[in-house]
Amino acid sequence: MPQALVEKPTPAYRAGGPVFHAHPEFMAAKRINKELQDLGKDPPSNCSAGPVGDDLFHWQATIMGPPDSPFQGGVFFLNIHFPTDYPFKPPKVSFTTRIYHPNVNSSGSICLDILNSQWSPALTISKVVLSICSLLTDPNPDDPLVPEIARIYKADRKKYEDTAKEWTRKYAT
Amino acid sequence: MGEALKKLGNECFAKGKLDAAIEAYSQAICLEPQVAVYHTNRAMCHMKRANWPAVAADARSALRLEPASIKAHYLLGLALTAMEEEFDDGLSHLRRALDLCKEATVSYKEDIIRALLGARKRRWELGRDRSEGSLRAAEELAQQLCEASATGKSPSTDPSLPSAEEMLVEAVAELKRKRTPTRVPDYFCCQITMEIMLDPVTTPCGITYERNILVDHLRKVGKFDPVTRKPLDVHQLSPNLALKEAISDFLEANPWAYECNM
Repeated sequence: MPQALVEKPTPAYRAGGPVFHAHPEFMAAKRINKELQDLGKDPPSNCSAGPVGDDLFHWQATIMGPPDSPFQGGVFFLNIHFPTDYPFKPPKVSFTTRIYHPNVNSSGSICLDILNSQWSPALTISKVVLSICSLLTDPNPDDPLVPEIARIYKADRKKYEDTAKEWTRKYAT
Repeated sequence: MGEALKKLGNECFAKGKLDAAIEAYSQAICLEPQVAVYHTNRAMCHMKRANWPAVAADARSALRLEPASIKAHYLLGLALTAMEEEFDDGLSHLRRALDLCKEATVSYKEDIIRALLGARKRRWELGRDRSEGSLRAAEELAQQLCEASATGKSPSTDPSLPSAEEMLVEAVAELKRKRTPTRVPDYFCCQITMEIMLDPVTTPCGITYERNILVDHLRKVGKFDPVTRKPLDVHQLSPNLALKEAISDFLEANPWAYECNM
């Protein structure tokens, strides 16, 4: 395999652009395109996702803070990078909007099993974003990324909610 | 009291004494008109006799008392479609009965499915005579038009039939429907690639995937079924031959479906 072909995705993977069957990224590009089309036809409520510019392997997603959570009223942005062997490897998803949550740290990394060990190629970006939505409503303090927030969440729910609301006002509106 | 009469009715029904059963249920209804089961049980007796108007009436009163009664929806659907008048209404009651079966277990689920399939077929048969008639008329008209353009005479028109323009418009619309790409049905698509499958294999859980992609998954990701996450090994996969043939036929009729971006 020529070295050039296993490098980072090139603009050859624009939607509708030319593709090469022998390319290892061909399958990933086709699958990502499919997901993009499905999202267009059947968009999930309260969130959206799509490519940033020309690069099919780099997306941005937005999540509206769920109504039954302290994030209500906020709009949260996420960065999505698809690996070249997607969907055999999970996408890399992180928050670009700051959020006060036991499973999201200050650099936006998310602690979610389906993004790591529990990934399955039958999952899609749409399902991942929906899982992140439910993580906002129901944090998982027993597997925290920020132990201090998890501690407050367990010990003083009111304080957790007030801080989360405050951060939402400050960073997500 | 009503309960005792219902029991009596059930016994008579089991023995095939339909008059006695109807009598018992009728008395039960007189005493306690608000119990839906008495109405559906009497409807069952009428069904045995193919007395469809009576079945429909009893099923309707049962539905008023219990709007989610599976049996009442089933019997009403059966009666309406059997009378061959209110097919749409009847079919929707049968579909509702089948929907309700998802949340409850009933012994006659297969009867509901068969009633639905049978009613659809009957409606299709009734419609076929009509559509074949108009097809023949269109064919004749096309022939006449060809002859007319050859001889310069205009074709005779039958006022009882749709005009040539109408028939042409309908024919073109039908052709367009057939040739316009729509969406590839999900059941032809692999759960990993999301594309139409060429070599579908089925796992012990009943999920179907494109073979080489699933083999890649087992090698690269892990030995589990991607949808159900149950343990899975490559030797457990079986080819899905019927689906493979169905896909092959579908692709022959719909060439656009290969590597389709829709």
